[in-house]
Amino acid sequence: MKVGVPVVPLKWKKYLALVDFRFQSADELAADIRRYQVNKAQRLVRDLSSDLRDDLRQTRRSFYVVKLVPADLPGQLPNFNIERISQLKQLVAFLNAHRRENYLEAWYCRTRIDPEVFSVAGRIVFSAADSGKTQLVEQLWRGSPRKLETYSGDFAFPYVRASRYSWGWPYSIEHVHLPQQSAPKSALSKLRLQSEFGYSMRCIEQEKEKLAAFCEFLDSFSFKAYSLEYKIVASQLKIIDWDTPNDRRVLASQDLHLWDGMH
Amino acid sequence: MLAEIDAVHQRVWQAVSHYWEPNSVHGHGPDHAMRVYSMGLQLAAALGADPLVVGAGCYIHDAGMRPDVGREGHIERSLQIASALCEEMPELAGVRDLLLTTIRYHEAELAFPSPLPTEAVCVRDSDTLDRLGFTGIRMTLQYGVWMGRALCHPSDPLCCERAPDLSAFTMDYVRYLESLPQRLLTSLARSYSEEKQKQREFYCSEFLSSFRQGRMRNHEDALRLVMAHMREESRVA
Repeated sequence: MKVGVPVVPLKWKKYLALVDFRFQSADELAADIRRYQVNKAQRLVRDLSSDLRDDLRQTRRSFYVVKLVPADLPGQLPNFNIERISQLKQLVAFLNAHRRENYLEAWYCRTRIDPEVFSVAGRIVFSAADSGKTQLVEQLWRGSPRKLETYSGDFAFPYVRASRYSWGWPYSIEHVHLPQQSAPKSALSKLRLQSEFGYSMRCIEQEKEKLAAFCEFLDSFSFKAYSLEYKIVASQLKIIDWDTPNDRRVLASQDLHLWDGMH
Repeated sequence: MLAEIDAVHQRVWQAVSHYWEPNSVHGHGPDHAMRVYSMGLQLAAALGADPLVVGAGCYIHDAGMRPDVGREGHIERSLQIASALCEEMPELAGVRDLLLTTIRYHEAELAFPSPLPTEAVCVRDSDTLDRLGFTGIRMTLQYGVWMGRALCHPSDPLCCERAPDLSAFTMDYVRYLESLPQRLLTSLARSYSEEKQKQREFYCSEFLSSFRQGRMRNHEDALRLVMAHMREESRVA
């Protein structure tokens, strides 16, 4: 008789690589990302609904990202952002719309975005261009890093883009964006954005040793570019994802020792 | 009127150029946008398409590529970028659906609903033309370096006796490019493609000759060869 072995989605293996490089512990990862088998998505909706109600009771603001996860895709997964209880119906519609597709699991994770809490998310792209190695950073305030992909002039989030030559070099800020309709009470001035950006970079610099080790590992594949995504909430930096031109090749590396995450 | 359209295009470019710049790392940088834009406007003029939509479509079509993940999911991201631009530029709001159609179907390999609007045909053929000839070979080689693909099969470098393995060998992809002209939708683009096909054939014969002499060791050698021909071509022009 064949014993079914649970399939670990490729996307989860990507997160486990972050555990392997000590960006977070396996327990922290399991607590941050709530995983459900796709046929138990009602439980996800129930738990998420309960979290949203807790937020309301404690006058906290959070946003949640729900992802549908197939076995073999490392990124670009369908996802749904939710901040309010009133959006639960749309979430159910989103899950139903994808019900017949080939997804193994549904996940969700939470980020606090109250104005009182420092909350930023960003992406660092490491490139080896002809002019040398560069780091391009895009960061937004109180939102998901996925939103960076749609940055435009009327972007709803405060946003900073900056670059630097390599580790240890100062960042040169290339662009600062303030949303036109930010509420006066929570509005951030350009100066404050620049200052908070500098603070974020110092938080990242504190993890330089681990970041450099991970980059050295990715450099061993001779990619011309790759990226890391991060969140900083209340001074706590978390590296939350990474992307390369060929994630499968990276995950097949003998140098990774991926804890399977299944109990 | 043309000056107004040009002004809109300039604003579109200002809004999206930062998406393109980092993509030079895999050959899809601003130079690709500029060439596609220039050819797109030529096709639009010849076919009577709306130059406003064609120019904007050309400037946005690959803006969704990323330096870290490349093409993966790029059409969806380009569509999001275009939607956001339509929200903030009133000149584009009225042509939103048409603009999104040019982006959604810009890739030669994608099936499309019939009839495809002329504006979408212009963007698609213009992008396909840039994937041919020396420009296309250079983009393909740069993409190969970026993704860490091997340059070519050790005993059949130009894939004459195998099915092409596009994820394994860059030169298999160069060989695959010869199938693109038949996907062009307009006779004008097909006539432009003839010169590009000659460039590809010329490059492949030079490549093979260098390979046999042991002078084609890696992507850098292959890129040097195409760059030399591109420089030569620009001198002739």
